[in-house]
Amino acid sequence: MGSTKLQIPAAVWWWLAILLLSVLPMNASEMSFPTEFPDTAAIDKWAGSSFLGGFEKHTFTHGDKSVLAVIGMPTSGVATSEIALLERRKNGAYTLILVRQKMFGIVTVKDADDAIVFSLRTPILVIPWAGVAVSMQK
Amino acid sequence: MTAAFQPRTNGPAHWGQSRFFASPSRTQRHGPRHRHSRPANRRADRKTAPGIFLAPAPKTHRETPSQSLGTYQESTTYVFVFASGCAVAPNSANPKYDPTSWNDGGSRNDGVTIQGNSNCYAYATNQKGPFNGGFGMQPGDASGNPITSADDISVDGIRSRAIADGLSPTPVDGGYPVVFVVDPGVDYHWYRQDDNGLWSSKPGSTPVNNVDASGNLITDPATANRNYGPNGPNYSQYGGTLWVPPNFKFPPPYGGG
Repeated sequence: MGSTKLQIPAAVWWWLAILLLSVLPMNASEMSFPTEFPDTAAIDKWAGSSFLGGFEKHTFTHGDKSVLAVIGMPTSGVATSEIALLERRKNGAYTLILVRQKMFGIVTVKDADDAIVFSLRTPILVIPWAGVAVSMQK
Repeated sequence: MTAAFQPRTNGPAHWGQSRFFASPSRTQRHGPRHRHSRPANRRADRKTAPGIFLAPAPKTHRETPSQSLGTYQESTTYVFVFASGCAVAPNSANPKYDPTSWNDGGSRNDGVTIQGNSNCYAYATNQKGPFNGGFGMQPGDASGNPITSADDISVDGIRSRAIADGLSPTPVDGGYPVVFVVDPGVDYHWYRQDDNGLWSSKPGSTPVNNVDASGNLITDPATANRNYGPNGPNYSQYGGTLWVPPNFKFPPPYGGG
């Protein structure tokens, strides 16, 4: 009595391969943001090479928390903005907590006591200080 | 730098616009040819009658890199171009390359500094910000037809707005040439030709410079590396040449410093 061997049709293998490829990160985001920076000099170096039209930095503190907002302009002529918000750690390093890809217009940022508010004429993004997890005292 | 530049630094011809070439006398006034210029015996320089010169027939499409390399063939069709009054480059009307008068630091839209509030279009038209208290300018702002969507960021969209703002599609006495390039739907960029014959630009709120994406001096925007990838724009489409008239100013409230 011969043993029965499971035969998987070639078409099934093809479908499995296609399924596998579909879940791989074939086309990553256009803009790659590092997630950790040892200091502000590293942020300057990264932003300087990432934003053709320049960038601006804004530091905000709230109690024992501190964040650095980077608003970059990846274009030369058209006014655009990309947001990166980083938490400052006790050791002086920065961790990326939020990225907002390119928007048309000039985004501004301010500390509204209980939150960091990004605006494009009107508020478009509000980050409550309660959402900033890293305390410099920890 | 006193070397005479090849006429193509005035930019390619587009939309039925003829090429304009320097007269031999002007070329002679500016000394020896630049090392990148066309051979001295090129047909475009041959004078046929007072004020009339032979020039290659204008192309109706964008100039390709191979065209901009000056590889003109003997079989090229020529048309007559009246040269009197044609702006040629470089000329005395070209603005001085003076980055220090622009690079005063600051950050974008700070409402105070020249650098922080002047983009490439402002620099090309030699208008110093702030504009209406902030960052600018955009083609069409001054003429009331601002860019409102990504579809407006095209060669035709930028060109028509710049002309409406007051730039000229043909050479202007006392004016100087500027060139724009486009990353469709993403961004545009402008270059201006300075008194030294080279081309300079000001990317956004960053300092003025005269190098391309590879760090090379820009002798011709058509052949310069305009790809700032992978994260930046790729200005793949060459928009062509426009001329900034003498004493050009954006109207209020955009009139810069």
